[in-house]
Amino acid sequence: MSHVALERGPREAEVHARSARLGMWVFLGSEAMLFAALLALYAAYRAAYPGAFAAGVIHSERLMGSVNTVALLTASWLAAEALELVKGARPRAASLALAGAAALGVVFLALKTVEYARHIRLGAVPGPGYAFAPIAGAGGKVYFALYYAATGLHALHVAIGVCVLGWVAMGAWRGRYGPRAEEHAGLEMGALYWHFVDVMWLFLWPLFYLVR
Amino acid sequence: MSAAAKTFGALLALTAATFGLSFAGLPSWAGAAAALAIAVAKAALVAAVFMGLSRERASSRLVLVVAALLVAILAGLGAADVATR
Repeated sequence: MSHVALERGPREAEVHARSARLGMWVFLGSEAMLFAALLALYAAYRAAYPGAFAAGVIHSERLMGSVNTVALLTASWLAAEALELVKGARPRAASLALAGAAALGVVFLALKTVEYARHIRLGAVPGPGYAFAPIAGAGGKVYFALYYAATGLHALHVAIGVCVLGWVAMGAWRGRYGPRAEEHAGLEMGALYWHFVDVMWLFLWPLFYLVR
Repeated sequence: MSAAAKTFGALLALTAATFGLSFAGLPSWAGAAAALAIAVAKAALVAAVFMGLSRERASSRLVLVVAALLVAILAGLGAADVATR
């Protein structure tokens, strides 16, 4: 359908950019359902195994998880500033902000890898191989299964987000995005996706790291 | 200072509050309620300012309202089902 791009007037381009944003919101809304199902299971199983869940949270890496929260929030802020910079016709500065955001995403994934490695070393693995002595029994298995499912799904989103941010950072550096809404829709979509990843973590962080 | 920078400052303050609360020794339900209430406030700030929802058209806002409602129904009914088996 390449003819769409050929004869597009300013009004049509604006409508196109607005439609892209609406489509992105619908996509993010459906993504939220995916996480909601896991949060529902968390609520139900926390009610069923309160002791195991509290112990699971006590054994989490509270400081590392909290540093990761600050990393994602900072990355989100940089992505928001990048959009303003490109609107102000400063694409190179926007590119640097996006690259900084992507780098913070890599920091997040690195810390998460360290955490996973520590859990695995202690035998807190999902499935039949579970052998974490301090939280024995079904509750511990359920807690760690949910922990890996929720944080793993989120980490996958972070990894995709890092790629998206890297891609739009390169595009911004090469001058692909202009100040008008229809000229930077791609960058805006990438930033929206990243903010969503940040918002999901804002809920996972207290549930798996703080609430004892 | 840009609106995004001010929002970032507020988000950091709320993050520090959540972190500090986790040392307060509250009962689980109270700790969870407080932490999740702060998380909702932070999510609202990110959506309104960083994601530009405050300057978005009604159609996009409606998507968010419907999504939030469906998340509440899905999470609520899902939790009720498993918890009452």
